[in-house]
Amino acid sequence: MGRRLTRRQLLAKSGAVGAGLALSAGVPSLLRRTPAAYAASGPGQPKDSLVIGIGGDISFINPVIASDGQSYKVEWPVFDGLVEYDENLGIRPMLAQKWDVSGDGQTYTFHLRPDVVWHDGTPFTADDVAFTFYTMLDPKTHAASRAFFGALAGFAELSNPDHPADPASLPKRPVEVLDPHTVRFNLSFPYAAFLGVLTAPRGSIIPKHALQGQDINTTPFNAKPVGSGAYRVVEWRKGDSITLEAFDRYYGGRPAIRQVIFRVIPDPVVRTQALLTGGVDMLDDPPIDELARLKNDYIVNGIYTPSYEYLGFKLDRPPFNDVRVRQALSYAVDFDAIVHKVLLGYALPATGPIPPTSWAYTPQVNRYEYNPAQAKSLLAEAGFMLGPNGVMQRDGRPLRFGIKGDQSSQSVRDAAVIIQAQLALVGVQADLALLDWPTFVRQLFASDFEAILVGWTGHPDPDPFNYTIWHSSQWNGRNFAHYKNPEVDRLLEEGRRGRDRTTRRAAYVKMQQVLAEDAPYVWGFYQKEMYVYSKRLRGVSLIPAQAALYQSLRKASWQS
Amino acid sequence: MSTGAAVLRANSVGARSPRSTVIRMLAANRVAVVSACTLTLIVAVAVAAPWITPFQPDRQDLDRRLAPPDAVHLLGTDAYGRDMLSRIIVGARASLATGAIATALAMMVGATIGALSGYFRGPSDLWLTRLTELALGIPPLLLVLLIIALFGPSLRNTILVIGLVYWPPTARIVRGEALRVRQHQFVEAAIALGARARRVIQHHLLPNLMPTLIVQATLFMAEAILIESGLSYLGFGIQPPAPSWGNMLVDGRRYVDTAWWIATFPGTAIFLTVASINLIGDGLRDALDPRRR
Amino acid sequence: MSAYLGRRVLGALPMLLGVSVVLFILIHVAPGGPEATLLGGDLNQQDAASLRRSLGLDQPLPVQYARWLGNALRGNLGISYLQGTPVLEVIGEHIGATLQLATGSLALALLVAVPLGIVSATRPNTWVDRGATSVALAGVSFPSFWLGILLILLFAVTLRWLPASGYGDYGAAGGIADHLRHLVLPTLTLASTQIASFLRFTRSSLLEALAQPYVTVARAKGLRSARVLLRHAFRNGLIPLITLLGLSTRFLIGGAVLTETVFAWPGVGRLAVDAVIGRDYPLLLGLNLLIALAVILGNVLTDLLYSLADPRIVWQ
Repeated sequence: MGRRLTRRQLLAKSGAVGAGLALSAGVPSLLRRTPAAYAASGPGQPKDSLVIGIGGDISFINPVIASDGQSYKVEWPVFDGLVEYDENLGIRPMLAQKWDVSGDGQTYTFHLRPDVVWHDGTPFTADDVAFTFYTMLDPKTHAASRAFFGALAGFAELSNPDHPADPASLPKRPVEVLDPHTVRFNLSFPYAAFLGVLTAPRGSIIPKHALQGQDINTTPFNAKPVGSGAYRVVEWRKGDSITLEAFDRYYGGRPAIRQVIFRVIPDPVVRTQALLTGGVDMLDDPPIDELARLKNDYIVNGIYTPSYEYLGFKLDRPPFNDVRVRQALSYAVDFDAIVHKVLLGYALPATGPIPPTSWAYTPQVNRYEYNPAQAKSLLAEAGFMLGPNGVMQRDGRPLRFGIKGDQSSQSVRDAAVIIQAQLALVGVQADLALLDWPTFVRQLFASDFEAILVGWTGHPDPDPFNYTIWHSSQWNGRNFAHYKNPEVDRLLEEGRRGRDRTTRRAAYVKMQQVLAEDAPYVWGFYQKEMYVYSKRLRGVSLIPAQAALYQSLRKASWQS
Repeated sequence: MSTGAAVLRANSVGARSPRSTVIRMLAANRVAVVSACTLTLIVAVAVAAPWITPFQPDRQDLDRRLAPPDAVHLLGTDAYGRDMLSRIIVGARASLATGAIATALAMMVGATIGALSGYFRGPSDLWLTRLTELALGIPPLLLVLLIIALFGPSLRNTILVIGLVYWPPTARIVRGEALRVRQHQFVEAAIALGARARRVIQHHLLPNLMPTLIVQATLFMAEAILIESGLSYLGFGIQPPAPSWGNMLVDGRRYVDTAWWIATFPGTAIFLTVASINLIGDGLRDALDPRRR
Repeated sequence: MSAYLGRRVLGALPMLLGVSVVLFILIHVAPGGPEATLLGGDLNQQDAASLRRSLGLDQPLPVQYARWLGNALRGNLGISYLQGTPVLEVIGEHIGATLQLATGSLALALLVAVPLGIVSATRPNTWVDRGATSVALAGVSFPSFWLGILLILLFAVTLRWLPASGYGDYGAAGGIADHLRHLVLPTLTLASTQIASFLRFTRSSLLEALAQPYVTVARAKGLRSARVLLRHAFRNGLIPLITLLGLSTRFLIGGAVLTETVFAWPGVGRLAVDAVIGRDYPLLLGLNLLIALAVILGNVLTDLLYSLADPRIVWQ
């Protein structure tokens, strides 16, 4: 029977195997076509809609409970705040047309626009503002941004999880409605960053009439919201797309683009293909390696935001409690190489926690240029000697530690592998442990790590993040690295309470210098937030904050 | 040897063909032979990996990232400038180990449970069936993800988890076959004649099940390799910088348009290995098929 | 027979209970919790603690389980952490997409595999036979997400016949035709993983059935091949296929995960993975419960089909 296997059969079988080989090997290279072939064509998108491809689904469309990166993108056009940032990080009126700040800096009075209506036609009033912030402070609300408003009077009492106080019982209330179009905020100390944390979308306002009496965490409103922004939500196909439509009665004028559609395409390769085939008009978070060839046929635009990645350490234990070790590691890791070779220049090496786009930034700090020799000599100073298997050791203990990171972050994965190799060159053995997000976050905030490769989203104003990251009172919060430096504490307080930009800047400049000396982190890089979109799209602009582009959606239009 | 067993041996349908017949038939199947050679080559490469890689698989060279195949780097370099050929050679170990060991584990557990269940019927069948259904009631990928989230991603955990989660299909198929075979007159006769359970299982159930089991094993070995790559795609696979074809394929997907070699070669390697295993299984099944004698 | 069925269904209840207990323990023992996704990476301990308290996660496990069970028995599967809407609603929104994909690929796979299997079995070892097996093998030897991207490159990017991903067109009235166009590539990808096993089993079990004595007898009596084939062999050959079909349900729903992720198909598979990664306990438990229920029903159906196909199999 075996004889029956004729040449034809052999041919047939190997033909199929060969076809499979050809498919897996040849198709990608043979089928590459330049984007020029597609750019002009497309499945005839109507000119009044804009389709944006994003990489993950939105959780809730409610600025009080959802402040993750994806939700921001949708919340921005749907919900307005009292104020917003402009391209230079100045504060610009939005729902509030003007405001007064008291002499002691602790009272902010906002005069609201009288011509604002919610998407369902109800007029917007100061009651909505008060409702928003009392809801935010309520400990039952799953509010991610609560801590940003720590300066409000009565913050601790109102947000106490065990027995939250009744606002009526407070001597000074955080928010007061003076009349339907005037609202007053009372702070417990002069907080210059207050306007900054009030900006949209983090400080956006939610409607009292639509939410009162409901459980804000689970209300159907979060899927069918009513906002005051230029666009309203008309459809949400979970996991697939969100469709927004221009709001006719927007106080700022009806936006030119009638429909904005967010399409969720998790796979970055498929997302890029969607752009090339006309399935989307704009790419959010494009793969860096594609940018070079997309540049010819699309607009590739980006901006630096306050987000940065870093290599951090648990600072209250050896070996990282020794500043020489930290400085040695700073010399041993070459983030520059990562920035230029892996991130292809779409990032800026960081020298501190404040971005170069900030008014508080100073370049006059101690830098750690890549210098493995210097790293080794510092380690020697700290008492390390090269051991038998190439790993530095001190008192018989090798210089070996685990680096934990979020496995879903592409930039972390890229950087981790390279850093591990660079450290090995100076005799430091780093073991990578890339965990899934919930596990990682749990361990982070429990301070259960030796070294971490992670980032901060940051805020355009230096206070909100830096205070909570470096101040020694915050060991239970963002200061899970357990950093403690009385001088930095003092500078942070000065920056927080400083009344004008000059005073604040002086404090932050000094802080950057002290932190650079102390090297609690190996500063990584500020990654450029990139967007790719059709050349026919006009009016789009970026501001140096997270989800940079979405503020300008209401000003965008198609070139005819 | 009891009379009963002797009677059985003479009459049993599907008794094992003599080994020489099997090998002869296999050798005549040229495609299976080619596949076996390919697979042997791949296994040999995996075993010899530490000695035959032209470069250290972890050695990075950021200045030569994404270099196309050339004389120095026969299969090009990846996103960190690491030599693709070396990584594929070393990656063979992870993928093959996952395939072989996870399969062995899954088959052993599954076949045992399935055979016991189908043979003994009665209360044990009921309980084992319930156990199988319990295990079947949980989507395997989810179970795998949860367990790996629990114990951390690593090669060892990947193998264990795949092996321990994927036994139910085997159990079910084995049980189905066992039920069928058990109906046959000769088996009932054997039991009536007093043959012990273990003997019946060993001499009659298992040989009849062998073709099915082998088909299952090859099917599954191939699938285990694919599952490993799927796990890497979702981020739960073998961690960097250790190379496995799965995580190389996933890393290379980003460059499918620009640096096609990063994904293509691991993809081809997976395809070759999996196809070879499948073709060998095909040939083995034909050779072992009692009707083909 | 009915007594057996009745006992099976009743017996399934403890199984469902068992599944839920095992999963409950596993889910809660896994490190991390929903606060990471709900509050984002910028959380602090106090908010995390108060979140856990408001979700009831600070109670001892048996208490939490009892509460969940009590609600589940009344048909209330709780509210998904990540979506903020009732679990049943969330599943309802996503199950349709997965069912389309699963049925489509099952149908396609059967449509291709069974005829090929029959042809192969009736002409064993000819090039037709070998060719069919080889093509099926090719389909199953690819990682599905790799196959998916290759299909996208071929059909969407190069030939521009089909869309690259997604559920239906956006910004314009889609319609059924457009939706079906989006269904093609994911169905193809998922079906290719099934064709080989269906084909092989059809072929091998048909071969076995054809070699049975009664077939030879029927042939000797002069019955024509086709009649013999259809009437006798086919029914017996169905049994392993039925087993395979039964198993496919589980694999399709769980295994559609990769295909759904590649093609951005909003189905239950992707939902489940996101639920694991986000520690969305109510959604995970609810999903698994419903899938377990579906599997049980599938198993009972399978056994029913067994007895229909082979009257020799008698149930105690």
